[in-house]
Amino acid sequence: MTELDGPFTPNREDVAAKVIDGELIIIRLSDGTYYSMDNVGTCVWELIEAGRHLPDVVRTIATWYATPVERVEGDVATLVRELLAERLIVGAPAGNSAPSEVAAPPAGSLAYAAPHVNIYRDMGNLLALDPPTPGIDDLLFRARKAD
Amino acid sequence: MGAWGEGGAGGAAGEQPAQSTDAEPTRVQRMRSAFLEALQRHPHSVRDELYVFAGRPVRLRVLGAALATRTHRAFAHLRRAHIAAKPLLTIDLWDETEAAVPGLPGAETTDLDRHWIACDGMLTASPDGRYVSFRYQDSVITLDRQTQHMIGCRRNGAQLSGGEYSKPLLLMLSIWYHDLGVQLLHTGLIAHDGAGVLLPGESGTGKSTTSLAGLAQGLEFLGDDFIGLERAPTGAFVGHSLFSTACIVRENLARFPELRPLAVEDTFAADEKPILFLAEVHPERIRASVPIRAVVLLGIGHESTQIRPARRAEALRHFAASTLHTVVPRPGREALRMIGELVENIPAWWLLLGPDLRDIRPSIERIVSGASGAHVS
Repeated sequence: MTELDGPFTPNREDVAAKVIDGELIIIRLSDGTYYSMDNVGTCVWELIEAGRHLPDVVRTIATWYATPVERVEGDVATLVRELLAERLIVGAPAGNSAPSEVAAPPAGSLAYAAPHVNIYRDMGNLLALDPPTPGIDDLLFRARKAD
Repeated sequence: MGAWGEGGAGGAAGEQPAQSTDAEPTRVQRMRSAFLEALQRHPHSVRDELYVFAGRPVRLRVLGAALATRTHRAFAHLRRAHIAAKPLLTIDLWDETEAAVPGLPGAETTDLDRHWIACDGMLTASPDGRYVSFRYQDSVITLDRQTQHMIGCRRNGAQLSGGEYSKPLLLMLSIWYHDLGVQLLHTGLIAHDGAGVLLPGESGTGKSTTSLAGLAQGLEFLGDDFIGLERAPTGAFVGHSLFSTACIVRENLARFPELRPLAVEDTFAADEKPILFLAEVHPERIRASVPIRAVVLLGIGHESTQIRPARRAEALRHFAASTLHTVVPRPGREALRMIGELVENIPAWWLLLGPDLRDIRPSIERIVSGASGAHVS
């Protein structure tokens, strides 16, 4: 067991993510930096989100993509380090609920390629020039729901 | 002044402002008292109008001629002579100099309030988030989110920045709209026969030029940079116009000779873009709300105009990045969820613009009718 075994969880305080047409778009709300991953990276994210430990993530990816575990292991470890460095995932709190099921990707998207995070810092860089902007979540007011 | 029917508050200058509450901070009580005093002193200097903002009735009262002209003007297309329902939001503003009633000295915040620098001003929120204030230069405005009452003053109503003149109350309205479930997006919005087309993108990507060219060619206009997006109970996406103004850099204004004489530049800051009050030019082409039928990502500088389908992930990136950077307060997870649902349900296209702006209307018509990829010219 290593510090990379997990389980991890998306950094829900600061990250919004959505899979659309097989592409994962992740947005870091605090500074506007956004990220995309396709195919294998999307599957890794969904497995992490489902609460899987990394050895389980690696075995699942290797099975889905018919690729040697040794190759997948190194690629996933590299990806997870990057996700941690970007604060997109964090360690899951102890006692987290049992892992949930994740559907395998559709046939035809199963050509294995090392997962890669595309990082778009253009908005993040612009935002970094200004003082931290208040977010609507900083101004929560729950006493009234309109209409 | 407009009027509302059964159940309306009715009345004109001199009536009581919205009721205060026990929990109201002293500074807000002082603002309400000061506005009431200004109304009593100058009952004939208030301009009191009814509007429909995102389909909701709103009353806007402004005391002071210069401030009234500059505040009401951008909402002209949303004005209504009569509204049956009681206003959901009431906005009360006054010009300190003209009314000779001070408001700013009483508008100080407390140690319990939370503060942020935003839009070159100071945004303040009470600990429970109910009262949100924005202080900018010699003005202050507070929104009570419980009673839906906005109250504010400024030292000199003639000295508005271009942003305040072309998009009055934007920050406070953004919070009010959020509370209603209407999300502000940084995007242009035009329409063809009532079918709305969103034009997301950062500044400089052609939103204003495309919106104005479309308007000049007979398309309908709802906004060139900020609009409200709402999911109707039916699941449909509805785009709401916030302002009937467009701001355009001087060099591009030359491309619209019929609009050039109408450009307004009497704003406080001399280096800002000229403002076009479009409801004064083409009132019949300015819409308040439309259903959204397409998302169009703009590309400029192409040899000829082309249309091709865009990937939904591209549309999501355009919307999310631009809106996160531009809308204040910064949208949260709910906004991104709504944008995600939008691009999942509404077709997205690339409109790669050539040099001839006359291509814009036929391009939008083809997109609305579901055209496949093609050269337009």
